[in-house]
Amino acid sequence: MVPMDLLPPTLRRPLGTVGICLIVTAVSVGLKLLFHDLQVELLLLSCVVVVAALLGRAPGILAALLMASSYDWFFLPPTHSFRVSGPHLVSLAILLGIALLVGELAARLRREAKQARQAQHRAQATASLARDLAGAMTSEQVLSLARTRFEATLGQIPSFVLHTADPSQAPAGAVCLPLRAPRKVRGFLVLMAPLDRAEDQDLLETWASLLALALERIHFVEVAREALLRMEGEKLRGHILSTLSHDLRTPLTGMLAGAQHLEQELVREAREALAEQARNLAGEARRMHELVANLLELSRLQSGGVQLRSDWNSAEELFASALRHRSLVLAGRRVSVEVEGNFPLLWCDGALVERVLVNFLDNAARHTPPGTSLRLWAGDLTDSVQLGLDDEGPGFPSEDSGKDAGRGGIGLSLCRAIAKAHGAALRLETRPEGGARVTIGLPKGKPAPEVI
Amino acid sequence: MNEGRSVLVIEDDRAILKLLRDVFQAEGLQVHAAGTARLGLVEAGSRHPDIIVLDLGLPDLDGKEFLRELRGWSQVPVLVLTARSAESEKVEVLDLGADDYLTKPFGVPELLARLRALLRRVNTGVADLGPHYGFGQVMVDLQGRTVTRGGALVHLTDIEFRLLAALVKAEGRIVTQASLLREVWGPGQADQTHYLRIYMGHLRKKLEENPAEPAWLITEIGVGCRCLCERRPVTG
Repeated sequence: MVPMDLLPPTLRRPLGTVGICLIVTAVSVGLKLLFHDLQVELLLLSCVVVVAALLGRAPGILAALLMASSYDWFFLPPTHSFRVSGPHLVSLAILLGIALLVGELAARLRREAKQARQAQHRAQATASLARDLAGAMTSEQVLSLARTRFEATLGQIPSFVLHTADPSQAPAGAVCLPLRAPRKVRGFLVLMAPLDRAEDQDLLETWASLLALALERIHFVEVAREALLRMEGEKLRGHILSTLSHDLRTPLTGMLAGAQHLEQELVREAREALAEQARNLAGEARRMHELVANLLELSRLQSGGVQLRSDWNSAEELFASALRHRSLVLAGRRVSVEVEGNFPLLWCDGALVERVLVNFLDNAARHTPPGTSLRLWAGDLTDSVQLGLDDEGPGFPSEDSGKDAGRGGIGLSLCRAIAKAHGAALRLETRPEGGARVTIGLPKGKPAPEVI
Repeated sequence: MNEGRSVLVIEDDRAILKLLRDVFQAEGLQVHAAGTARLGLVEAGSRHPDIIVLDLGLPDLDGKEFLRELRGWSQVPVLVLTARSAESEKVEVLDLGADDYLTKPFGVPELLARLRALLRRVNTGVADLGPHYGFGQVMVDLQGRTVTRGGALVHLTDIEFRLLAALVKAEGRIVTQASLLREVWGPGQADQTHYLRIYMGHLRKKLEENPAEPAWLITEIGVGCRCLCERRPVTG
């Protein structure tokens, strides 16, 4: 007999069926010769049951037909002929019917057992996947775990790709399964060919949601870790800035106060020339301090995550405070302040906007000759509130070069950063009638509530 | 006027300590010094200074801790020197009981002006003058609830008067926005800063020579307000 392994798979089951049927027929014929009274029908039927249980539904039907034929040929009179008549036809029909029925039942039993085995296998695979995913710490790990598990369980799939990119870029004919997590779709599972069995499709969908959950969990773990890192970074930066601030301001205090004390003593001793030098020294220390203060504030703003301490402020008070802080620098210049009586209150970080005005004044003091006038003004436009300073100096070299080069430096960079934090616009221009104009335009939010 | 009065300077930077010592001695003050907060607390307890000048960045104890401990048993005026410029910290320090603050680097004239204002309050601690305060041409009589400017009566609304009273009572010290709002408008109003903006504007218009550049009613942006007034004997 030809060994089964050498046959092509499609021929194995039909040939096996025919073989079994031949053997059973031969045995039946032999037994019938030995025992004349033997009822061979049961033997033939059990052959159909065995074939259906072992090989499935189609071989079962084939066996039923073959058995019915051999029953007709060998055992129904007239034997060795397919002619049947009368009551024998009924016997043959009953045998064929019962053979088909038991064959079908046996085959169904076989199929259900197989399905149960497969279902258990899938459940196990799903459980292992879930367990493995629970331990995954990165999305790369999730993908590689999924890949391994897919190949082991649905081995017949030619290939599949997991990626988080746009599903419309998947190759034609591929199946796209979204990885839908509670918050959003975390990626797509792309299969190069569709699955032919519905159970596999279900399994795939279950796995897709497992993967989605794992990816989402990892996403939030990463978000949390980043937030923690950022928080620690900000804490560290804050600490460095405050230490730096302390370390820079302390010697400046010594310089400034020392120079002023020296000046007082020298004035008392009527040594005017030296007192003048001490005065200059104090002025330099003040300027140095301004630079340091601007630098520290700028780096605080640029480090991001700075919260504005916004509050209601009045333009008059901002102007007055800026002027008070700059009274020494502005000595010898007339400063006029123009604010309309019903000018609205401003919702802004007062200390920062004052810092902008102080820098405007510093800038003007540096670039205008003593004796000239300055004008601080506030303008109420429909969508913004303008705070500006006009001077009588040379203005800005040209519209664009004035923005970054020449006048300004750190002070202006700081103004720009503060304006940006407020969503405000900073404008530097040369007025047509001469002189520079610097303006910060704060966006108009809700008006201040009525005062009772 | 400072003869026989003493100041305790708590500062860890030697150069600044030396400088402050010279400046205060030139003012006629007796100077005690401490380099750490712990030592400062001991000195404050044993020397009974008339005023304490406290650097906030001390090596052993945060200046704020110092204030908390000191205020447990002493009401001596404290002028805080801070190298940190954040307004929130100034407010915190004032809330902890500091009487005034100066941000480093400060000028000697500012330092002396603040120091004198605080000492003046101690000087006139005996209530012999009655609750009369003055600044510029303005006189404020808290008991009679009258305000005059150059001798002429100034009409203030109830809220304006309460705000002015809260400011003058501090005698030149800064009062934080929140405590002004609480005192004048009542608890629960501490974040209604627009009230303060509006009414400070009213007071300036009525009492200042040039409201655009106030000389007496000063707002320190983000911290609070002060009125640079002094107690005055009642005249005419």
